[in-house]
Amino acid sequence: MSFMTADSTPQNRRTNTKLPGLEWKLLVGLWLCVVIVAAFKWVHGAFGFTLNGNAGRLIFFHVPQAELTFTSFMVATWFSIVYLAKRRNREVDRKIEIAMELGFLFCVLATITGSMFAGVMWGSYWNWDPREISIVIMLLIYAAYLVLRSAVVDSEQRAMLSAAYVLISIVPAIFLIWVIPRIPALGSLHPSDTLFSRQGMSPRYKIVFWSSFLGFLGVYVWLFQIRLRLARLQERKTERELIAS
Amino acid sequence: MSTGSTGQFSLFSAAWAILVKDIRSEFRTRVALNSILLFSVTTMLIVGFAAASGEPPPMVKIALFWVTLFFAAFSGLSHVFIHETETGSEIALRMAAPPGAVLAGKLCFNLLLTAVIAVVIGPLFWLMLGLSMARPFALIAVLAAGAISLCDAATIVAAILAKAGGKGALFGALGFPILMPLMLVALHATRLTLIAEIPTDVIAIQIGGLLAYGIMIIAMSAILFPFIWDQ
Repeated sequence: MSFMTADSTPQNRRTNTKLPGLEWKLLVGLWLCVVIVAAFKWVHGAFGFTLNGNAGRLIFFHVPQAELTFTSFMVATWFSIVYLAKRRNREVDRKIEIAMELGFLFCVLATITGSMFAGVMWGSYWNWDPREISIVIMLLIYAAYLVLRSAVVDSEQRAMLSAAYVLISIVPAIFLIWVIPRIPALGSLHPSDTLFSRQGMSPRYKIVFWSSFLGFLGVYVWLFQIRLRLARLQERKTERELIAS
Repeated sequence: MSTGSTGQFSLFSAAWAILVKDIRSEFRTRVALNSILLFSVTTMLIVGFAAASGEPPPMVKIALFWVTLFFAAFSGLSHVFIHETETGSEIALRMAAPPGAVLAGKLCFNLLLTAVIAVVIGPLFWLMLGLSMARPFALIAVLAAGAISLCDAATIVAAILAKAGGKGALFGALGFPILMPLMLVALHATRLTLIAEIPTDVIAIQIGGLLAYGIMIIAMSAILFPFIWDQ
């Protein structure tokens, strides 16, 4: 995928008005349309959920968002390691920032959809369920990272410190994602391993769920590219202004 | 710079020298200690005053204790690195000792400071709020494990903060997310020690969790500190 090297377009080809990779973006759009229709029409209401089982359809959208928050954090972690260990360049720093921004976005979405589901299923929009606590603290980690970035003026120092912060926050992230939701004493309302166990979901649910996840991943990569392009354009603009002045 | 030794100093003796230097300079001004104690006592007065007008549930009292300890620790522990930056002694320290020794020395100093805070405000809190002491040794172990891990996290955040320009408000913002999982476990574990019927091994697991968290933070700090320090 052209996710890592999206800007290799040479200067002379920039006159071409066609957007790069238009085909797969259309495919992602179409794919998600099919997923949405399938989630509401092809899959039956799930036993044990309220609103005639319709509440269960939320997992097709809520769970991929939550998984993407986690994936995005891993992407940021990977680029942070690359930044500290090998390549101290602005490009890698920018990718860490974008991964954290997108992680924040999906974290907000997962929190909102989760709260809606909790309101319908468990009678209250907020239950202090371990996973609910976890996602709110993840939200805080993302926010703290963005605050740290805005506090440091020097760009190289900002890159170094924020990369270090990402790597330190791995420790709470591991606790929040894997340890806390699985402590039996805390009594999570969320099921722990429905996604991979055999009895958890019916085949139709599984197909739609994983298709939805793939679609969301496509949207993620797309957003990543747009944000990267925007950041590069902004930088080029400030450079040009500096030269002009 | 080599990680093992620099010239005449081994890692351990360099760390020890930094610890002694920090204690000496702290005793000269007592800025960190005094500000922490004053903050804790002020907070405790407000909490005690509020608690006297009604009986809050034990979990709320415990939460108040940990929040006080958290903010007291964070207001004082950030001092170790910011102090170096402010007085301009950072470069000299960087030349005199390897980063590992600096981290170890500063961490030990902060541990001492945290121990003093915990010893002062812990008993006062328990007396003032009338919390039970069903299992005193388990309680002390939980408080010690929680305070140690809190101190580990505060130290590395302080290192980042000193480089970020020592902005005070930033410390809570950066430190809180890193410490939240720890605080949740600490709250739960402290609650357990107030009930006499809870078996020891249940509490022991919680203490293990608290210590494991601190060790993971220390391991991460040891890897990252050279990058933050040698900038």
